[in-house]
Amino acid sequence: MHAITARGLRKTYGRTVAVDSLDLDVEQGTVLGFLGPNGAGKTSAIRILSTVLEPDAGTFSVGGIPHTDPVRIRRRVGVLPESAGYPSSETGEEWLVYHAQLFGSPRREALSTAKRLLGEVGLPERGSSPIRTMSRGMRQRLGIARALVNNPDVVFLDEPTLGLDPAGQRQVLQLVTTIARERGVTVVLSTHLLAEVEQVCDRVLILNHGRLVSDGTVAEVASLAVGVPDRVLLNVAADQQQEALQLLLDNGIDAASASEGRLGEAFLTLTEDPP
Amino acid sequence: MIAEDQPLIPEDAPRGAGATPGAAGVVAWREIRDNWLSGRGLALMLAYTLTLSLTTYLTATNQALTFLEQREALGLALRVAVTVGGLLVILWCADAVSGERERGTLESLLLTPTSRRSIVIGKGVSALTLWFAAYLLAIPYLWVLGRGVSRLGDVLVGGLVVGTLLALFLAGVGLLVSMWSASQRASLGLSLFLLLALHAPAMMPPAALRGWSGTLMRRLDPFTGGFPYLDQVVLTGHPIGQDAGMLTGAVVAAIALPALAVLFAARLTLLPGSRA
Amino acid sequence: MSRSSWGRTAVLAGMALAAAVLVFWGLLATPVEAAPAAAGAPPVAIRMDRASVQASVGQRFELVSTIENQSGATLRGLIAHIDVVGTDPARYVDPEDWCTARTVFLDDLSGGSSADPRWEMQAVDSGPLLVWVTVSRPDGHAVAVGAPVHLDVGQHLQVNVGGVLPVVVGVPAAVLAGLALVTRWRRSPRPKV
Repeated sequence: MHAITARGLRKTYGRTVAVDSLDLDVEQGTVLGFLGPNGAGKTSAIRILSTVLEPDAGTFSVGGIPHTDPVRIRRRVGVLPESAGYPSSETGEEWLVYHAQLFGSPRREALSTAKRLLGEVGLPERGSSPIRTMSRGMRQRLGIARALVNNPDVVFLDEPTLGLDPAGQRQVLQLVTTIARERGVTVVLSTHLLAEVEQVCDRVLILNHGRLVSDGTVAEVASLAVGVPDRVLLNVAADQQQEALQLLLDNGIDAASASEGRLGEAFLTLTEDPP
Repeated sequence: MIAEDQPLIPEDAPRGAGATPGAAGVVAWREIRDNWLSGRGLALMLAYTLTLSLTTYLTATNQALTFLEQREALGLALRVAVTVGGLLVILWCADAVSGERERGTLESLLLTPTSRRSIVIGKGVSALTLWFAAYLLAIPYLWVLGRGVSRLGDVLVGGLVVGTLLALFLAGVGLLVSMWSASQRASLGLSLFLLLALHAPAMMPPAALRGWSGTLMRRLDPFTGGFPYLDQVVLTGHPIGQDAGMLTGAVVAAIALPALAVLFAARLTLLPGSRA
Repeated sequence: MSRSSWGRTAVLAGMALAAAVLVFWGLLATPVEAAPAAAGAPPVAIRMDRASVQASVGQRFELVSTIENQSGATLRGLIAHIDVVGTDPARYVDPEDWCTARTVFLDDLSGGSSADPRWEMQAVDSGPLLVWVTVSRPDGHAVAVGAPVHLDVGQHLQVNVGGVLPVVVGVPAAVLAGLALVTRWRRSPRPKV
């Protein structure tokens, strides 16, 4: 049984097509990357699959549960929404307890779950601090903890490293890897950074303007994204143009043309395949 | 960061099936804690009690108002309590959903198996605590103003009944507006406008409410039924049951509007007007 | 008694009997009117919901009158009116100050039915007073008068200024104390949830 299956998903906002005929099959335990620029449809796709939004067309199932039973799907998924908000006056622990109770945990059990998850996302000492005192990175980790309160089968993480510094990004990505590996949870990671996908994901879906552009392993998609260019533009200072041309010739690269830029630079266009 | 031998998620973490039972209570309790332990509710009550204190002191000491019969002073304090209590309820409910949308916290709620109706009911219940707190705080004022007034118990009960009916009605209005508003500002503005519009007929002289239009307004607008009923109990000294018919509109409104809000809550979405 | 005497007596008795029958039938044909206070007054009974009222100056109260048509015919165009008179010669009483809507034009009153006009009043001065309701016809003939309501208005009940101060100050102070406690609790290290 696939963890996620989708056929012909479509979502529009007025005239804007956010998701267009999305087909999807995700194996259990896969770490799937949703890659694409802003407005590609990643968030809309995640919101549909997590039942926050209803598609205009198409069907899907999560964990074998059809889209017609959204309440049961919500019990099986955990989500870190993009730009999720947090109540400023509550502590992280209070917030996690609240959400655990909303999933049906008794209060005592919810408290135990909250403490455990705070430890596991690296916030054991910050549980009793108001959320408003937490950095963005801490809040993202708190959000990941919230996505795990219900022991989900599928975890959707929408831009989990958005707004974080490199150290924070590494911590979050490491946490994602651990979540996936330790429990075999299926993870869908939405990002616009190829580097994140390369670091964490087994498989990548590239979305653009709501459509699936490419689907494959990270290596397959990365090679497609980079490829072998037909032209390379080198920006050199105008008084060094000849020297640059000679340097390229000495290395077997024939620069076919040169043109001037706006600020006195020279652009050398290479039409030969680089060695 | 994570111990190698410690599973990230225990095997026995709860799963369950279907909507979470008792979720409305969980939401309500959390909202009540947030209202009162954050200090917001108490700050509002402080402003409200200062208003009541000022009103009470002026009616007691102002020479120009000494003719104001004791029952009229009592009626004025009760009107302030009912009006302010209703205002707090509708504004709190107006923020209930649209505020969560703007703060980005609604999506996390919608991702739980909690039914949308439970969310709205819980928020409505917590808003009503503002009215009951306002009424409780008004009791000392009403008691001190009403010493020696006959049927003071009827006055207190009548005020509680009318205030609760109006609070229920306004909670329904606020929640409906909040669910359908795209922004918190729009929600608060529209709710305030509706409150003033509904209150206006009750301020009109009786002559303006004659004829079929006046009768219709008296029957539909809970304020035009509720406040005159309070006048009969407080000013004229009627027992609470004598003019109960005047509350028909208020009772219908107190049932219909919250029911509509709960009904429409099933369609509560992340984006107002979208499908989910 | 001679035969002629018996005959004369019989004739007289017969005439008396016929007259009595005519009067009796006449009575049956004519609607029975309750004994009015004055000849020509509407045949109604006027009752008030209470016989006396104790009030203080400034107090508002309501009197409810019941006007019952005691005849078998429908009475049309009746006018009910309330009046107030002070029984203390030293006090001037203007009825318009006591009740602004003193006249009520009743709907047609069928035989045996009643109307209940209400009179909103305010005690504008102290002293003993009498209040009564009258019912008349538009032609201005004699009125029907109800029994008076004895109104005893005492001194004005003023709010005790000293009595309100503890509440006026104490209640906001208590709320402020609660707010301070909650604020302090929020800023301190949080206890377990």
